[in-house]
Amino acid sequence: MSDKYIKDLSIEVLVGFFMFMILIALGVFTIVLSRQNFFQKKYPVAVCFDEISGLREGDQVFLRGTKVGTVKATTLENNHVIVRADLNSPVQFRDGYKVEVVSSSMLGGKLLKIYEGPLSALPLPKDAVINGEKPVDILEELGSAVASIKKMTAEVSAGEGTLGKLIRDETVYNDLQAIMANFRQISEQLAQGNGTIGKLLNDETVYADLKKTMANLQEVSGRLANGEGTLGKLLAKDDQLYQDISASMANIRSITGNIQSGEGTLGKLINDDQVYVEAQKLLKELGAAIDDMRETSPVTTFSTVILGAF
Amino acid sequence: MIAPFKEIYRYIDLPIKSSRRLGRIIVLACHDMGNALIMLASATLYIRTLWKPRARYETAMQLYVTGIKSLGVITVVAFFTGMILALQTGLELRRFGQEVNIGTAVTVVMIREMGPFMTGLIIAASVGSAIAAQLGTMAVSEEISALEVMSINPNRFLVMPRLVALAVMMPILTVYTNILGILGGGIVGSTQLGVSFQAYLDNATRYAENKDLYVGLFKAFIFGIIISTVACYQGLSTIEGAVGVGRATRQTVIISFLMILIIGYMITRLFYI
Repeated sequence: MSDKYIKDLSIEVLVGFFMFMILIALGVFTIVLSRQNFFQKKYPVAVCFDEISGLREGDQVFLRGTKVGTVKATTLENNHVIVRADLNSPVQFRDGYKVEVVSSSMLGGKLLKIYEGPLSALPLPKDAVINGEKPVDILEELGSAVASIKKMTAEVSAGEGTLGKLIRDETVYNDLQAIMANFRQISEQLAQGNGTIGKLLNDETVYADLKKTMANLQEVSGRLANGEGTLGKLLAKDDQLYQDISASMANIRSITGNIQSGEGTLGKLINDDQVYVEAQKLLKELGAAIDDMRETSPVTTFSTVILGAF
Repeated sequence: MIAPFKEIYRYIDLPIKSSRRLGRIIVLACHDMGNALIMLASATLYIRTLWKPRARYETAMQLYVTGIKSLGVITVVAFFTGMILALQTGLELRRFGQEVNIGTAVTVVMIREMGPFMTGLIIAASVGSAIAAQLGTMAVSEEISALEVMSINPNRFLVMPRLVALAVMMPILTVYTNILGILGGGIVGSTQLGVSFQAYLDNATRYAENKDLYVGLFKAFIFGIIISTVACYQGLSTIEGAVGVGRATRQTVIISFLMILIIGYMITRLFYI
């Protein structure tokens, strides 16, 4: 073969190879942009909507925040929009399911969001019609929000409501001014040292007293810590005093037990009423004796006087 | 030869009024356009002879020159076009915390418009001007006349292979430009804007559609026809020696650029509005 023929051939091969590679790339590009995976099993699902707010073929389908498929077609049937989607995995819809069209970003674009229902709910039959929620139009919502804000600002401007009165009515302003004047007067008095709080702020006596008290408290707490005094001994680690008190308490308990059981003089005095009866009798007899003495007293006195003269 | 009309009217600077001058320009433009379209139709009819050995060789050579020889400059331009697109859109989108969407922006812009447009400009400036210069030199050295004397139709022998080469290679090079542009955007996204390459690719394929891709390739195909027609016509109608060759080259680039812009807009309007 001549060199020219080889050169021509190599040019043709080079051009052909380049075109072949680019055509393969074009094929891959086409498959990628069609968002289809030809080797994966698909699970078709159809959802009935009243409107789909611009959802398009090729938009993504999300389940629990993960992409599970793409929208295949949207068709208008009997005043409803049927959205057909191919899912990569089967989804079992249950009572309480929710399918809605939501915005994929603030810049636009839509996606189909599926919530298959609570796990505890009953699964829907296979031939059940899946109904989608009415999509929320963000622009419409924003429009109504703006309208509400406008209405509110108009009311505020007209002096209606609390906020309107706050802005339009001078009473609150005047009250606030008066309060501020009072505050100013109070702060001036505080600064001059008038009144209790003023004295507290300006007079150092209270501070000195407080300091002294704190010193005393510190000393007392030190003594307590060192086990000095009765309270200190009570708090001290050494439990001698506690033992003594405990023994005394045991003795007292024993004494009171004896008293209660009528043992000893005190017990008998408390429990035996014989002494009481005897004492009562004694008192009665004493009373009678005094009465006798009272009755015989004039005779005795007279006799004493008469006889005393002799 | 195509240009007797030009020889008579174009370069004779007659002292005429402005209105007549304007009329002459319009008549010349119509003449040029008509002649170019006739040449295009004639060359298209000769495509049936494409598989003859000489035509096939010439076409392969033109494919090689148009495609393989242009790869270097197209690689650089495509890569940097994607990078610039990603950087500019990414910096603006970052203000809204949406820089992750540069994949969408770069892909859609590249495959819809920038891919065919940039490829068209590069091919018009490099290959189109080369064709005009080559055919212009042949015309002024009377090689074209010699071919006609030998009963070889210049449209079949010279124009048809170039027309086929550009019409075929422009969409091919556009696919190449698209791929490199998108890759360039991805590199800028991952290195400058903090968008991972995987997120960029996921986003890139989210909103672009096959329609965008194929309308872009259709544009490239039309651009290829425009560039080859303008370049061949300007080359074959060259007069006045070396000066004429320079003028033909310049005219080829200017007219091709303008036509690419105007026809590009019209195709976009046709398919998207």
